[in-house]
Amino acid sequence: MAVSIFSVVGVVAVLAVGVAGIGASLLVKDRIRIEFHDDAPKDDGLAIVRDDLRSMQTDLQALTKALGQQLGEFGTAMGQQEERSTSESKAVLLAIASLERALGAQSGRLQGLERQLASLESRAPSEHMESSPVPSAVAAVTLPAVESEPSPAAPVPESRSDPVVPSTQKPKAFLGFQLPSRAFHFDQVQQFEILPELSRVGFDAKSTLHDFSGVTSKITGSFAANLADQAGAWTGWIACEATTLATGVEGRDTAMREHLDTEHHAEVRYTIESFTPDVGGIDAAKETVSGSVNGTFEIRGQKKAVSLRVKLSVDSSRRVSVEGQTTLHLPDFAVPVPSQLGLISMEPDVLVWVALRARVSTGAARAR
Amino acid sequence: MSWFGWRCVLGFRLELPVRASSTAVLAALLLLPCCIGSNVVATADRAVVAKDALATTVWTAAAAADFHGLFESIEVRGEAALSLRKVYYWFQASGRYSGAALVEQDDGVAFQTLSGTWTLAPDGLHLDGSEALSAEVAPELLRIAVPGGTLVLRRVVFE
Repeated sequence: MAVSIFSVVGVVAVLAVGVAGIGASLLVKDRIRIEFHDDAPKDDGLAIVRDDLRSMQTDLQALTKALGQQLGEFGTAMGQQEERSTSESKAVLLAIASLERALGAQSGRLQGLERQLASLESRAPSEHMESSPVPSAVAAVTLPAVESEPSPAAPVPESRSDPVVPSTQKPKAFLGFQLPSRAFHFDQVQQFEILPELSRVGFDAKSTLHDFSGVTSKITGSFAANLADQAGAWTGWIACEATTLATGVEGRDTAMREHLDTEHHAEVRYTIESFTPDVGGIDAAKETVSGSVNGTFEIRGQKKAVSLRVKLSVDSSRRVSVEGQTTLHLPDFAVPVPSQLGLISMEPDVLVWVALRARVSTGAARAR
Repeated sequence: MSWFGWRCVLGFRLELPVRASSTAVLAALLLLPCCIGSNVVATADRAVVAKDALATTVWTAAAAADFHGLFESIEVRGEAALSLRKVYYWFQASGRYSGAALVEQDDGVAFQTLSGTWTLAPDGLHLDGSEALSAEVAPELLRIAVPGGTLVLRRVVFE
């Protein structure tokens, strides 16, 4: 009985195990992974690491090679770009320089045209005066000014109209001598040099006892002027050595030099800034001019704007003769008015006059 | 009326020496400005060169004898004056001449010299066979006119 029981139990157990196995296999069939492994011996860790290192070296070499190539290409590209940039910059600079040159040329051409225009316009009034029955005085007033009248306070730049330099291209014979071909141009800007040997400046003074003059020929100066220019764009200067002014009385000369402080202010200077012609004061046919020179006197270091009434003419030797005068008030220039014990005194106003000769300047004259 | 005059009118008694000296002083003061002449340069005398000093010179046609000797220029007229500063001429009776001109050029001033022959014909002066030039004379002066200018020469001593 017991055997049967054990047999049944055994069978049941076997069946239970079988059912359990089948159930288990059904439950876990999806979780079962079947792997097949060959029988070859497995690598050790060092070999794997070595292999990994080799692989990494290979990769690194490849990367290095690729990187170097890429950097080389990048550098080449950058160099080419830099070269292109440099060449483009040079091209731009050259273009700018070329434009500047062209601009300068155009500017010069424009100035030349302006000068020609000014010359033509300044010539127009004289031609008009010659041909028109209208009195020259009226014509001079009604004709427009050639150039804008400069401000008395602002010096006119000398480069505005270049003085005419006498041409020496074709020498001409005169009594067998070869002379430079030069001509006097009344209606063009010319540079004139004062001729000291033929010039004098001075002053007339009045005193209690008698009147007297002070005179000198130690004069220098030059001026640029178009004598026919109604706008009177004259510039220049005239100076005399104050120490050489002589009145004919030695003691008076000594006192005069003290009053003028010639030790510290050796010269009396007049700076020409412009010219205002009289109405009808420019006669191109007779080559005469009258009007007022506007400028600044400098005496004893003191400056004051003064107009000088002048008459200009051209003599037979093609020199310009300038005669003019004006009145100066000595206290304006901090010049003490001489007085002896309050009894014999000089008037504070003196008449300053000039009698100049000037010749068209040449290179040789400028070099002297 | 002076102080002295009022004293006289009022009948003050004055000593003769005092009266005489006062009169002298007053007279001197009154006459002093008259005695010291004006020393003012006349307007016409301001210029160094008198205007056209040769304007009144009487010129006559030159004769051959007028040329003999040494001359220096005192005036150059016309466009030639822009560059011709001085001229010297030496005319010989034999018909030869020599000249020197101080010419101002752009690069400086230099003498030019030349020599040749001269003749005086009825139509004028001929230098080296040139066309006739107008030649006139005045006492100690010689004037030669050519196209482009006129030369006025003065006879100088041949040292």
